[in-house]
Amino acid sequence: MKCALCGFEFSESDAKRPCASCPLGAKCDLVCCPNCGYQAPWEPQWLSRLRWWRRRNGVYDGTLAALKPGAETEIIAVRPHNERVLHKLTALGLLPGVRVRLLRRFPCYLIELGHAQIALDRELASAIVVRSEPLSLQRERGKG
Amino acid sequence: MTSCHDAMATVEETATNTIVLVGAPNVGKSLLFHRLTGAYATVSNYPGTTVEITRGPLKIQQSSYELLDTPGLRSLLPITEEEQITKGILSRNDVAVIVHVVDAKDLERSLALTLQLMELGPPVVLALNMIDEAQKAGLKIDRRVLEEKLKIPVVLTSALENYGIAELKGAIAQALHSAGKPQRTRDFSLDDIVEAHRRARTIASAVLRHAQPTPRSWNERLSQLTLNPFTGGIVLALVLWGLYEFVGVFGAQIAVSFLENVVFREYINPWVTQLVQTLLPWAFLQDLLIGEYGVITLGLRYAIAIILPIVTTFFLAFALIEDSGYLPRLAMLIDRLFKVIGLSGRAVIPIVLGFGCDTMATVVTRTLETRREKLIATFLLALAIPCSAQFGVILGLLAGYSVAVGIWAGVIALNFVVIGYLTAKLLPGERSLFYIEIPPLRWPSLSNVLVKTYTRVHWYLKEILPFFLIASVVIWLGQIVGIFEILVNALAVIVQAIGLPKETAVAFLFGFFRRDYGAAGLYDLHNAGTLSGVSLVVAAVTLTLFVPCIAQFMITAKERGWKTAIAMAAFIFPYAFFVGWLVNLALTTLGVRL
Repeated sequence: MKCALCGFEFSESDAKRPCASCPLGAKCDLVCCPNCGYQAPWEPQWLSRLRWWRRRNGVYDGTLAALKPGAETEIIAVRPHNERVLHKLTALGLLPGVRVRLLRRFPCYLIELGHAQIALDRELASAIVVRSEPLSLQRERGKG
Repeated sequence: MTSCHDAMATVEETATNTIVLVGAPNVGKSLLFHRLTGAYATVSNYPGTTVEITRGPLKIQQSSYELLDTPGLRSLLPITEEEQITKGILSRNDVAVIVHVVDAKDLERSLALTLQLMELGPPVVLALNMIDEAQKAGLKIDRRVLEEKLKIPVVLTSALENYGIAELKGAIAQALHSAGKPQRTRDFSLDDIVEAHRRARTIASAVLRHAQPTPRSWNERLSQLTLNPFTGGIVLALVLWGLYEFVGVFGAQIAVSFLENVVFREYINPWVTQLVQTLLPWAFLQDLLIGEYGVITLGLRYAIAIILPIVTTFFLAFALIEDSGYLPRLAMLIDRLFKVIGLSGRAVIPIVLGFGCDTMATVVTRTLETRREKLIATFLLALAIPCSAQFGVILGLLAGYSVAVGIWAGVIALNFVVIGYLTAKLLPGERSLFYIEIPPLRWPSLSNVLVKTYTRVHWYLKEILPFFLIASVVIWLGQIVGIFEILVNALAVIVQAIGLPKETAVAFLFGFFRRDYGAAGLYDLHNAGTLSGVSLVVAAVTLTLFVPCIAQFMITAKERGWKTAIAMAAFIFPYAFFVGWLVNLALTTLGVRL
């Protein structure tokens, strides 16, 4: 969660630490910020889930799964969990050096390569590593 | 020695007479097959319809060859069962020529397989199919340069427009005279495939010229509408509504009541009754043909008047949906939801087909990838997917009570989700991954849709008609011997326990063999006015959860093994009665009157 006073972000285990020196122990419903000591009620679980989910979708981890719709890029590696999946992706033509465009990410990842469109689930999409910066962005920079 | 050598030579001569069509799913292979041979093979927009190998005669320069149409293949490193079958065929030594069919628009990705096929030994011909679509998309392919680079004949074709077929035959003839390359000795590794793709890209860039990008067509815009979760939901609702109006209202109500009340009641039954009574004076033989469970008055009437119109309208609608390319889009929309019940979006295809015929759908579960997914899909088909015949009969039965239809559909849907979820939790095994190619939306060709509908209805009738007739005979024999009475009385106990009138026992006895036949039995009871609204719902729910039919059970045994099939049936029948009892209890406790 995030401290309302100083903006410090901390995890649940960090939040428990100040409780050790507190006479109330860990039994109260308040949390102290490990940075500034400001007290606040526990964040409901669904809120922290939401925060986690938004971060997961917002932070670019180098795979197709984290691209924004409309982004065009080049595949640089395919690194799935097992060989069967690797064969599958290879057979579909998803190989290093191939240029793809992400069309949508919900309810499934939809990518365009050449004139073909392929739908993938999140697990397969996150096995495809793409050039760290979408090509379209690079092009814009080149112009400027 | 010489005789031995001669024998070898003749074997060789007669052996290499097979020409194989290979290609990725959905490149118009089957239609091209049809154009080349004049025979029919199922043509479809989703991967994996040509599960069975289709054969046809092909005449080239006065000698006849056998043309094989194979299941879709993307690389020579096979993943699915079907791809393995195709690979097996290709390595047979009676293959004279391999014809690689590709979607011309998708040349860059497809050439890799051409390069792999060229290493197998037999001469290869490359057919750039759907060339009309490629031209519309602004692609220019330099055929000459491609031929030079690959050193194999390349032909531009469009199976849909019947273009380039003669040229393709010519190229095959040319290839027959050329010697193939020496056969590759070791299997393909992943590195080989990656290398093939790399070379393919270089070749493609030399022969492909893109005209300026065409503006997004109506097709592409409509396609995006079907893929967006919001508008896609609306499209799905429209498709389902159309399906209901066509199959549920037109097929199951208007057509059935016409055939039943006009054709059979007014014409066939009186005429046959009179004929039989004059020709056969013996009462027990009269009973066999025109009695309460007679071959003509019951068996034939059920098959022709009740089942046939429903099944025909469903398969017609399904063929339209299938050929338009909608199914892969539905698979994509629904993947996340299906993951909850342990299936991937791909399973949409057998499940939707199951609403037509569960037996056919059980065969199609082969296209699913993991054993676990196949098992879950088969089980859910057997339990909670009513086939069109049964669906239609039940819609017809409950037509007067819209609340009853809601309760029935709700209970079945709940069972589908809950049992699916629990099965997914209990069954160990790999989670299924989902990927599917989204083909462009296509306008279905009328002849293709009609032929496909005809083939499926024909298959269906061949499956059920003998059963319906034999069932009449068996019941007739059972009545004479008295077993029928005993069984019905025994079932009556169970049936009454779940709150139904004992007359329904007969319908349930039929239901053990075919649940739609059982439902059709309810139809007669309903017409006689023996069933209340609540009883109708309870009976409909129980019968829907039954194992679909003997044929489906046999196919399950064949595909998943006897143990699995028996275990499924042993769970399903008691469970169906249990749910029926529960529904009855709930409805009577809540004081629902329908």
